Parts: sequence; structure tokens; C-alpha cells
Amino acid sequence: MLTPFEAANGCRRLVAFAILLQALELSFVAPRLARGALFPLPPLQQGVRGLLVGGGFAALLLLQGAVALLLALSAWAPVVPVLAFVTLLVGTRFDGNFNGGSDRMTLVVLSGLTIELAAPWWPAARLVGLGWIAVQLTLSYFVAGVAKLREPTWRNGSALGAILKSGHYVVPPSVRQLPDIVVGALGFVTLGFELTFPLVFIVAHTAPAFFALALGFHLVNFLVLGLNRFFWAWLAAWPALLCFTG
Amino acid sequence: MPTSLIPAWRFFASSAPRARLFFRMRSGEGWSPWLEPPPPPARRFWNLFINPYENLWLARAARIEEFASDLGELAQQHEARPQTLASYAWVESLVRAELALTSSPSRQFQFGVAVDEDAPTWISPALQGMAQAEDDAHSV
Repeated sequence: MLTPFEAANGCRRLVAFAILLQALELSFVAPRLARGALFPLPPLQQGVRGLLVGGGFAALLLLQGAVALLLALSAWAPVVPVLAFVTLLVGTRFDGNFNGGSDRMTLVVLSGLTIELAAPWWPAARLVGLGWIAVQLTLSYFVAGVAKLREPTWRNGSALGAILKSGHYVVPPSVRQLPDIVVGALGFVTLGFELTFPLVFIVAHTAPAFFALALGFHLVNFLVLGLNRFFWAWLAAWPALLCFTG
Repeated sequence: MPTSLIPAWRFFASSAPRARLFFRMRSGEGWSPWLEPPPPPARRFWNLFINPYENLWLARAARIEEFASDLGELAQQHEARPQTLASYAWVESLVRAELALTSSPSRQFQFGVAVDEDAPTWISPALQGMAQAEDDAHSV
């Protein structure tokens, strides 16, 4: 559906936009991180402490935002490794992981786009880089589905309800009040979507439908669980997959 | 850090009860009731773009979960020194951050963790809140 050139450009602009939002978010909470000694630095990283505390961290976030904005506007490939380096440096502030899966998907996209930079010397590099992103995107749905299928609570339809009531997420009251049978059905819909996802490569012309389902899935995850970073990080990976589907 | 960068993609596989963090402060009459860190502000649609306080809350919840998991492992090994855990330091600093938002951050405090309970089943020793100068020195 997309040429490799179009897919790479799309991934670059979208991942840059996702990182720009992430830098803005961290800028908002940086004063809280400073005030309460929240998220202490691991001892191994004291060498770069100056960059990860106080004004140094604020400057690093500003740099990350500026580089992300440049890439979002220009899609200029050589900016990718710079953004990847700065993003990794910001990640060390949180021992590599501030927001779990969305951090990892952001780095998957950045690493694939960095591999793609070798295209002038290695003609297959662009397809290898985009392929890496597409495979990880597929695994992110399919492995999650298989892992759920192994759990009895997902097979009997009670898992999603338990997660919504766990207190781990701020779930809107209207969702908490949904009947168990509806929540159970939504759990099976989630399982079905994740487990059938590899069909996007096998059955022709299903990519638009899976893309629409994925957008809806991530939007619901934001509305119900607050996972906004996942929406943008996963969206940034999609152009790579659309390069390999008919 | 390297292992934390490798995607596992096992989202929501477990629906087991999640750990909750509690803390309390000593006042003239004794300990206050157990408190929980407040949830983030109500979500709005524009939070699809920028959702800083909820993401901070989720990051903290993940650390609490990690600490509860470490406590469970210690219990299985019949070890009783959670203070040596890296996750203990994370959670202690998290509670200190909450105390810093109160009117008396230098008071003595305790924190506790509960899984599927409404009161902590594990409780820390009494700890001294930070004086202002010490607070500045520990700020990161």
C-alpha cells in the first residue's frame, strides 16, 4: 500500500511527533521529579548526572523536543540517530523505562529507521529496517494475544473486568458500571483482534480493516485506561507495516 | 537498562490484583490514618496528546508493582531485608515526594504495601522525613 520511501517518511514524521509529545509531557512533570527526589538515579549513571538533573534535564528535554520538531517537519533521515541518542539519554533518567511499552515501541521505530540509514551502502537496509518495525508491530499484538490466551481468566472472560477494577488505572465510572457480560465480550474481542493480527500479511486487502481496528483499539485504551503514549508510538510504526501488505 | 529495552509485548496477560501503596505520618497523638497517593486529575480528550500527570501516576504504579513483586520473592527466600532492594529506594523516594507536598514534610513517616487488601500487609520501619536542606541535597 505504501512504497518503502513513503513508509520511511511516514514513520519518521510520526515517531518524531510522538517524541515531541513525550518531551512536552516530561517537561510538565520535571519540576515534580526535582522537588520530591522521585525516581532516584541508579548509581551507575552518576557520570551523566549533570544532564539528568535540574536544569540539565530541562535542557535535554528542550533539545529532544527541538530535534523531534525538526524531524517531524523535514523527515530528514540523518536526524534520526541524533533523536535516537537523545531519547536514549532521556530514558536513562528513568532507568530506561518511564512508560513501559510505549517507550519500547518508540525505540523499535527509531532503531528500524537508523538501520534504514545504511541504504546508500547496503541496498536492502531500508526494507530490513522497515521489516524490523513491521515484525515488532505484529508481535506486539500477537504475542500479547498468545500470552492472554494462556491465562484462564482471559479464557473465561473475567480478566478484563478484574483489570478495570484493580485500581491500577483511572477508569471512568461509566466504564466501571458496564455489565460483566459486556466487559467479558470486550475481552474476547481484544483476544480475537490480537490473535488474528498476522492475517494482515496473509489475506489480501485486510490491512485497512486491521488499521482501523488498531486505531480504535488504541483510542479505547486511552479513553478507558489513559494510555495516550501508546496511541502515538503504535501509530508511528504502522507505515512500516503498510509497506509490506498488499 | 539493556534488558528493559527488549520488547516482551505481554500486555495485560495477568489480571492478578495490583499492589497499592499507603503512607502515614506521625503527629502529636500518634500515627495518622493510612493515606494513598491521590489519583491524577480527571482525563480530558486533549490528554490524548499530552497526559503528563496520569503517565507519571502509571510510572509510579509500575514501580510499586515491582516492589511488591520483590517483597514476595524475599518472603519466599526467608530474607527480611527489603531495605537492600533497589525497588525499596524507589518507593521510599516516591513517598518522600508525596510528603513534600504536605504541610509537614519533615515528620516521621511509614509506608506500606497491600495486594488485594484495603490496608497494608507489609509496613516499613518508621522513617524520618527530610529537613529542607536535606531535601535540596537529595533533589534530582
